[in-house]
Amino acid sequence: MAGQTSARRRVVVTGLGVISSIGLGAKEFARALREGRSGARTITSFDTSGFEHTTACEVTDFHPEELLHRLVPADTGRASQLAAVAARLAVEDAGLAAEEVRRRRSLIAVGTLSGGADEIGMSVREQLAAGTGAVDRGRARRARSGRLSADIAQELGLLSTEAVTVPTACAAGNYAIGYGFDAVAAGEVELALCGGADALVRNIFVGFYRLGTIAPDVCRPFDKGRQGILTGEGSAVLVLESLDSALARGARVYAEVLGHGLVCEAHHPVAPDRDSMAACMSRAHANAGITADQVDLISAHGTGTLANDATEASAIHQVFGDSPPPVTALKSMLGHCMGASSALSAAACAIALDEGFIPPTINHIETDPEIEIDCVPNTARAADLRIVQNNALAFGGNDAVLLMGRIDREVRP
Amino acid sequence: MNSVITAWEAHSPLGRTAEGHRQAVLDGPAAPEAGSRLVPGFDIKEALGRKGIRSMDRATALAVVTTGRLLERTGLGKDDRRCADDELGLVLGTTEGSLQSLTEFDHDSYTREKPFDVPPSLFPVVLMNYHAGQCAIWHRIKGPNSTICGSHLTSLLALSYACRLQSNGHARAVLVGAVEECSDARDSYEQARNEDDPQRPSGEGCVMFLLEPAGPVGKDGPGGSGGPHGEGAAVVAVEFGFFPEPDLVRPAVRDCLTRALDRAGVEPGKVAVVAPSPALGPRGEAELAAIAEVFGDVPLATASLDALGDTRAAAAGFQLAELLSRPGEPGRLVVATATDAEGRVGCALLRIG
Repeated sequence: MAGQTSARRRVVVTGLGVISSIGLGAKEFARALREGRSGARTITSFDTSGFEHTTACEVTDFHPEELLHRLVPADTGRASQLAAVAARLAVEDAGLAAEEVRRRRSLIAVGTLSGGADEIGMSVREQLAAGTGAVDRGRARRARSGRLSADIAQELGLLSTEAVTVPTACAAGNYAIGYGFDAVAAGEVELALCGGADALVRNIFVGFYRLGTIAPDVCRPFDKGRQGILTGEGSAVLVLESLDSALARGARVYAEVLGHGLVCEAHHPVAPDRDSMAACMSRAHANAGITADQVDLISAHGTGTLANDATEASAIHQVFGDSPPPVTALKSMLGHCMGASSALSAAACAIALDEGFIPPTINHIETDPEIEIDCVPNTARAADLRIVQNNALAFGGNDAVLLMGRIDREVRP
Repeated sequence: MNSVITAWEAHSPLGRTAEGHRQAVLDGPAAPEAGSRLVPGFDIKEALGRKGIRSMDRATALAVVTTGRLLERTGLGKDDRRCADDELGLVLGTTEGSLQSLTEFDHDSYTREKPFDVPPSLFPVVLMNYHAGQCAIWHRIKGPNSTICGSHLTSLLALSYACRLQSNGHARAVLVGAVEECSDARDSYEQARNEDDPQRPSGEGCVMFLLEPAGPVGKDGPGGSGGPHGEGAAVVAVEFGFFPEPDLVRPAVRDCLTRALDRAGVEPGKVAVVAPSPALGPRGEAELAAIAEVFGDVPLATASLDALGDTRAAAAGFQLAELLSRPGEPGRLVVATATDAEGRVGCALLRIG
């Protein structure tokens, strides 16, 4: 593989906007990660009659009308609301004034699985009830998946921005952040607002339920008794800028983005492939200019299904040998937030690097003997982390691995 | 930018090969009948055979056929490939995946005895990355595989994404383009969205470009500038902007064009032709006004717009295909512009040859 064509700028994370089932805002999210909080609760956002298992990681206590300045919540789909509020929180967390954000040339990249598909499901139901083919105008407009990125530009009133939605399913957050990294590193943009957003969507719950992968109670990644995923929702947006830009304005720096790798398994629409996952990790290491032994923590895709966890652990062993670093699975706390998952995990990695701890894999009883890894069970652990790897794998064979590093104390403002 | 389009392929209402599409553009496509602009006679089974197409949607089949043909005739077919499988990337644009499949999936869930009594093979089909994933499986494309979404800017966003994949070392050769399918579900959503605004009939199709690195051609490397197929164009700039208010379309397009020209160091007078988007109504008029403001009395490439209809995600890709159908002399500079209902504007500046 050809290397980079020119010297890259160093790229850092200077702001985090997080909406999750375990906490809203970077500070509360960090506290929840440290406590090992669970977002699992009974589903309220759609009718669950006919389903035996009815638990998911829903975001409650989210009031977009209090947080959005320009977008009208009633005209905006839930995933777009989650994306736009996360972007606003991220920009505020970064200490960037609205005018400064507008002045900079920017990229907005939002990963998602469902985009506005919740509106389509609700519309089908309304059409059946009414016995008509007509689609409600508001739903049709809110259902646009392209809006997840455009609505951030709208909310922030941006003019010189490239707003793209990246619907690469369950790995979409890492795709979007990797894209933002490349654009900032090449000096093509001065600011990237990137991450992922997904609402809790009924048809995704239906699909996973049909595949027999919805857990009855909680999500137990890497556990001998794991029974599948809990669906979830949320969003995370990271503010990326060059290290020079962050230093010049005296910004707080959470972490540095080191690189990323992308591969396609090209194998099966839903079954994971070990060799491709391993190749993706190696590609990310090469892109970041590091070796596997430098990685101090892996944030796993870790869905809690039998197939994923076994395959992912095996791929980790293939790359890292007999003694891989600790491997944590944040979906134990957050559920599977689909396209937002790896963005939430990337935010967690930035916090872990900044604060020096490993968020735990909760709900853990007994590690699967087939999976020889240290999954940091149940309790957060203090750790001197330098480099963290964030795995994301998706239906369609879309694998994406992101690497982040601690920024040296001496260059911190 | 350091990427070159070395070949393209299309499956469109104008033709079921690049050559057919190109010839239709040159001849001036026949006046279309009313209604949706379909790829004539396209049938999934006929195009792909009976194996491996269970639950497959029309858009995916269009993309699999179009990417397959482009790979075959550029020496990148899976049986005789001039680069490694993982050096080849795919960037595919879509507006919303297969809306028809999604509504059928939801319909089944609401009408069958159990809400989860849905065909399991339909579940991956309703996800927006299904088209790209199937292209990868059918053609063994193991490099980056990305799905890009952004209304009528999708093709330009995908082109920008693909250039960055290449310049950052993630892939050597990248297939980039977009696909749309016509369906009843899509029509009902577009009608609901646009009831007050003029709109073109729905159009479908897939257009794909092969993007290779510019510069000296290695012995074993991809084609390089100009390409082996006589279809070359360098991607000089891809630029975007946004209009947070509806009355700011014109300045947004103007400023976007100006930024692209400045970045490339190109005088507006050097641009030979501009292909505008299929937008109608005030937004379309503002786009044309901005083009006139920047380029004066520049020729517009609009021969295929009526025959294609509104191909949404693929629209800007088809604009580029029209520009490449009449390339003119090497060195000629051509521009495509686009706007969308979500607030985006964008343009691509290509140099022929």
